[in-house]
Amino acid sequence: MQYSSVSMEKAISEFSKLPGIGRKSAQRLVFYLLKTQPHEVRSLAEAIIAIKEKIIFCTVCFNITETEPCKICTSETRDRSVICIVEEANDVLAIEKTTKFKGLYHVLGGALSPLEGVGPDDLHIRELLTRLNGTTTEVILATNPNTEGEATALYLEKLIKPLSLKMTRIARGLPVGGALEYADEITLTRALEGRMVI
Amino acid sequence: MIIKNISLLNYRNYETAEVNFSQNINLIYGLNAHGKTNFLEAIFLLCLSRSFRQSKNSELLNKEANTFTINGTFIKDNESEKKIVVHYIRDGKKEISINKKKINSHSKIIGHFPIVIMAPDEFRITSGGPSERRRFLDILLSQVSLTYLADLQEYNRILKQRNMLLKNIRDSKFADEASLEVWTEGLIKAGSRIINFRLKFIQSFSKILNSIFKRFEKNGDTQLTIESTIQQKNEEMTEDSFRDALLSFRKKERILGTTYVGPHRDDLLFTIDGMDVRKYGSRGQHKSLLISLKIAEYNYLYQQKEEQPLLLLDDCYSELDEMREKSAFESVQGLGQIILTSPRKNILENKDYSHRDVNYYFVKQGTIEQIEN
Repeated sequence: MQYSSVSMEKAISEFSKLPGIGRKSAQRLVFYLLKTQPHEVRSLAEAIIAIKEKIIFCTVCFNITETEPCKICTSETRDRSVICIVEEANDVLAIEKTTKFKGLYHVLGGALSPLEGVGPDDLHIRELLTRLNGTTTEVILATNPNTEGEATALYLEKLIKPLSLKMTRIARGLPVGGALEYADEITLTRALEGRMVI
Repeated sequence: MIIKNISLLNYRNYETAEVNFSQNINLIYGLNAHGKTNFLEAIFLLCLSRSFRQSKNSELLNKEANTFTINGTFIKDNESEKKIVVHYIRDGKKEISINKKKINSHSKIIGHFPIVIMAPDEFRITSGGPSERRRFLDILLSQVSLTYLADLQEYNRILKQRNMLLKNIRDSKFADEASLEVWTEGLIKAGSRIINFRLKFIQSFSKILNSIFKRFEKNGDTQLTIESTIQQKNEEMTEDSFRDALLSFRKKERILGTTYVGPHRDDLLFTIDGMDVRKYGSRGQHKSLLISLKIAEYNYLYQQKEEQPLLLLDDCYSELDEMREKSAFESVQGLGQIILTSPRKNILENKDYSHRDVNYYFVKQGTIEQIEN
């Protein structure tokens, strides 16, 4: 169908480009905004524009930031001897939520995947190696526990090993609060493989 | 385990259809090409989330329809009831739920609903190409072991990645030897687990198969072994053998742009008195072997899962008869629930099925109805 307003039609078509938003949802959002206070709509529009204008990637760790270098990289309180390597910026967010990690990060920007045309040169690996100088004593490989994440971790392991730094891989296993009997066979097998001496 | 009922919506030649099954024998009859096998296919799909005819999802849609839904209720041996729904929208992925809970991994369904099928297509196991035999092996072992399924999925993923990289190297897009090494390591690890699992399985399964086969051919001895591109001595050595094999094909891999050795190239060798059945077996031997194989599959699955599998027989009545007469089962009772198809209604008459109820279902042009006896 055709709308009587060109702006309406344009807004709907823009919204429906977003992931998870179909034409119907887009229509609902636009009608909602139509009834909303002008300053609220303006604030939404400004927030959207700021995503592109203000957010940049830290040239040291490649996390998303508004200052260069990012707050974590410049922080006085972070432990500069440990670097945790992750695939994406939202992995940093996940680990930060735990508040247990006080070191620095390095965001690779993905994982090795020839099928998607991602090779070592497409990841921030060279930048990582230049960072691993005197102050670093430990690296934590925190790539995803899937096929590509494991391959990436192994690739980095081989690369970093000659530097004789302490190197660890995050453990995988049972979810907290879950009962053993409900864990699937695969998770349990991996948890047994990675068991610890106490 | 039994299937209590099933309903189809826009599946194959059915617009809507609904059936309640008996826990004994269910005979679906009617003319050919009216949709008998489609029912078995739908049941198989509920249990293993794929078609035994190796059809694509879009081929399962009814004429112009854009979605299909299969709904089935199963009762496990521990009496818990599971409702499985498979829903597909054209160009999308199948969505599967168990008791209204959406599942996002095949490992949540495969193996929980053990099933064995005997269909004319299955003769390809003994007479077709190696991929048919690997398929038989993988479907059975995936039902038996979740770790096997996970290893298989991982192996296939790594294999795809590695082949892509080899193609890139062949086309000299970039000679990324360092990351090839990483994929090779992963391939060896996952692949060796598969090789060892298959080897262990074949050793015990070959004995079961032979003991059943002897009921068909008293003086015949059948043996089942794996023909592999990788030398197999013992479990600890598998990774080394795999690495050696890859190394000896180093050049060839880079020219062909594909992984030349590994469990994805395995084949099963069936012999009768030392003779390769795949090449030299008579029609009668193929038949005896396949029936023995299916009984062995049924018994093995039953024993491993401690749950009675569902048996589907697609137009294989004479095979059922032989199973009954010569099989390891005391009577056909030992087979649990059976769903079979046949062009004729009277195939079970005058036979010794008196101790088992038979339900009859008549199929005609995409409709099915239960017929009172």
